[in-house]
Amino acid sequence: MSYRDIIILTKKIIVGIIVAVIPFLIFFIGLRIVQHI
Amino acid sequence: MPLKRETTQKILRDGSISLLLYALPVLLLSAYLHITGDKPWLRPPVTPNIPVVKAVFENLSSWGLPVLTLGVGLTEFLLGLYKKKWTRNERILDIVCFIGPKVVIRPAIVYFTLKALPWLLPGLKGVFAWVPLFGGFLIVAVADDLTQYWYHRLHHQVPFLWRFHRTHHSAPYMGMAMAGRQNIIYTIFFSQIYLTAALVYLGLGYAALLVTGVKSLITMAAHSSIPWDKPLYSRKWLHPVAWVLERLISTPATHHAHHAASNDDGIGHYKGNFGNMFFLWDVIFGTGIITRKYPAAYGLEYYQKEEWYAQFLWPVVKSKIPGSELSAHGPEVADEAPGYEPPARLREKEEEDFIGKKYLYDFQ
Repeated sequence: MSYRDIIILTKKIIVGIIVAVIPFLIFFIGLRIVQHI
Repeated sequence: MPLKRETTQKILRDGSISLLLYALPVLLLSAYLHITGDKPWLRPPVTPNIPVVKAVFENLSSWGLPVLTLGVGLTEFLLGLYKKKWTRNERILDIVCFIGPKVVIRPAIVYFTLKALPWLLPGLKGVFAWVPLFGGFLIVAVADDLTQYWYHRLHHQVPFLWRFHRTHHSAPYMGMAMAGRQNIIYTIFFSQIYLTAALVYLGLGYAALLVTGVKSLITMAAHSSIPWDKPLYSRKWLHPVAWVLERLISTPATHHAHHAASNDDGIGHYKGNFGNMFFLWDVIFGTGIITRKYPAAYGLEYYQKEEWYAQFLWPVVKSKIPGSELSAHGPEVADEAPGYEPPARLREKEEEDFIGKKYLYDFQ
């Protein structure tokens, strides 16, 4: 694996985390608000 | 290869719409609880007791689905649906991709659920166990499938991500053999798996069991080379059913179009039809085409039949084929042929289709 591959892999993992974390926060915060209304 | 400006704009616009789509099930649940005056979090959580359904889906997620996949795959093989395209290299790749993730992914998810989540979300285990089953089902269905839509779409449209997904599209045939054919890095970092695991940890386990079971069946049927949707198009009285179904879920016609070798015939649409369980996302974002026809050829027009181990393990292991995208200095492109520059007229048409949400219909 070259340095360039490691950069691509790192960017791919970051994109994957963002794609999962944004909806998670929406559901988590949303359900918490529903619970406290 | 840089990301095109119009693609970036479209991703940002559709991403913003997605935030509302993600919030929709929570808003519906909130409206329901407001109207009924119910406060389910004030009483102990009730586990739904539907033993038969539970047993079916539990077994489906353990040994049921692989057995079903093998059964359908064997039927396809006996019907001669793979023709002569299932060469030794493709066979090994498909089998490794079928077995490999089961060995690697399951331990990764178990580790994530048992070790990482209690550390990342301390004291929150089962905190949303009060969510009624219908609400949980909607939340997990949108969470899992819309996230997979985005994961999938980005791997087509963002050039540096494409090669992680290329393996799934290199198969020159459709069927159970290639349904799970993916590069191992693509599979390990499937965003929706970890999102759904987190929702299970928070208390939506039963809903997740139902959603993942239904989703597995729909995606399996969409990849199958058995065109189960064909009778819906040939019988006029079934057209209303077809109209709803093909917009709601992935069917062989729409998903086969996504695996087409070419877009030139107006049937293939490998730059769209990204939906996995729901096709609805493609309808909303204008990335879908519905023709009710099947492409003449599948795979990649520029496929160089790279070694199975390079397709499975890239970028850890590279292809030895000179000029291959998977070779040591292979070109970085999105889902189009390396060095391919579409003619101006075709480019304009693609932009028109993409931006104008143009759908092709064929009711013949």
